[in-house]
Amino acid sequence: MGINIHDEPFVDPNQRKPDVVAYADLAYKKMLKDWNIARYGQGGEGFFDHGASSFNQFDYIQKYVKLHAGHIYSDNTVQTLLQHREMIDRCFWSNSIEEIMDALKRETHPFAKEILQKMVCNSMVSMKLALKMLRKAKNIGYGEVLKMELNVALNKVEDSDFELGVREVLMKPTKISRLGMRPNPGFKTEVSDLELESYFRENKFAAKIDLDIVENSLLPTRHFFERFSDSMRVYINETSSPQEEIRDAVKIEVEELLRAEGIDIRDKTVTIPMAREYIDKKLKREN
Amino acid sequence: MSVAPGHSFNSGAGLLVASGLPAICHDSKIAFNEVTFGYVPHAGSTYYASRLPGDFGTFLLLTGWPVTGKDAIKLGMADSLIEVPETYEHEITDVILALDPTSMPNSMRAMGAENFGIDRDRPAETAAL
Repeated sequence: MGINIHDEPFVDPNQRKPDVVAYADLAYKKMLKDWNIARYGQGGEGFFDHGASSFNQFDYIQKYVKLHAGHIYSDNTVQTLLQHREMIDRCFWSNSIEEIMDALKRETHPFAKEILQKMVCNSMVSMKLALKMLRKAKNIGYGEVLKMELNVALNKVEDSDFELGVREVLMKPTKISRLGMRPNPGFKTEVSDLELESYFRENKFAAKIDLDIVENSLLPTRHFFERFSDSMRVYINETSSPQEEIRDAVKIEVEELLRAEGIDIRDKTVTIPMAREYIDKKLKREN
Repeated sequence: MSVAPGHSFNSGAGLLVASGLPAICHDSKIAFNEVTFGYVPHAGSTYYASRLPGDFGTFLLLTGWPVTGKDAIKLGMADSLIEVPETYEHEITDVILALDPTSMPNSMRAMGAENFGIDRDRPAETAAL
């Protein structure tokens, strides 16, 4: 569940990483919130809110189930992928596959060789497209990401590489090697930038699929609360991210943003579209 | 709510990441390995991967490297690590059936939330969520 600040070794305050400080800051804000809840009841937002405000039903069940069912085992003996994080960051920062592979060749760790071995077996066009999509997805919302993925996926189905991959990789199960470690079946190795960009064109079938996207939404919002669709506290709180820290951060950020505009988040006359508009305007002003 | 009882690849992994109460087993593996057969990442996986710390998401999508249950928890793909999916199902049902309506806030009880769509008269193991 993200970075646990308690796992970090003690570092001099001047030399702490910025993300650790941010998490600590968030933990402090959360602590204040917990105190508020303990003092004024579950669902309470503060001094004037004695649990009488609208309540997030899904959040309540989610917390309850997490508390009583399922377990997280703290077994520190297991080796994790995350120990290679520095090496991965060092190699994968680039915007081109060739540079990434060159960087991997320069590494001395055996894990880098394994990664390289696996990357050689993959389709070059797919990797280039995936990298391009990743860099694009960083700066757009969930809805646009889904639209982009749909277009690229539908365009990719039509090309010969996909046909070859399905025929040679998916339809031929082997007991000897894992799916990724089988030899490259002869995917295309060279592709021009223009050709890559053409995969992002709009597909004629994409228009027929209704994605039902909420405008200006930050993270996926699902319709658990159709009965209370007009209540902002229920809808804008981004419950759907699996990362608790992000959820808390978004909630606190949204609250603070709206407070700066003079809007109380507990005000039931403020609807979701209104709130989204305010936040959108505010963000545009900052940029 | 979603549970990955075994291997969960590509769009299955995308669904797992996007759901509200994801759970994963110790021995299950999660991978975005579309690139191994000439396809592109889909089902919202680029959104998730582009927001991982550092360039970890780039690594996952470009190699299709399988991630174990423990790593998946650390990367925020799932919230709880479980042993057996069937036990987890019964556990959740029991937990929700045992949920004390009196401890809920009034506003929640007023909208009939204590039932959660569960028939309380049926035995725990057959009740459907």
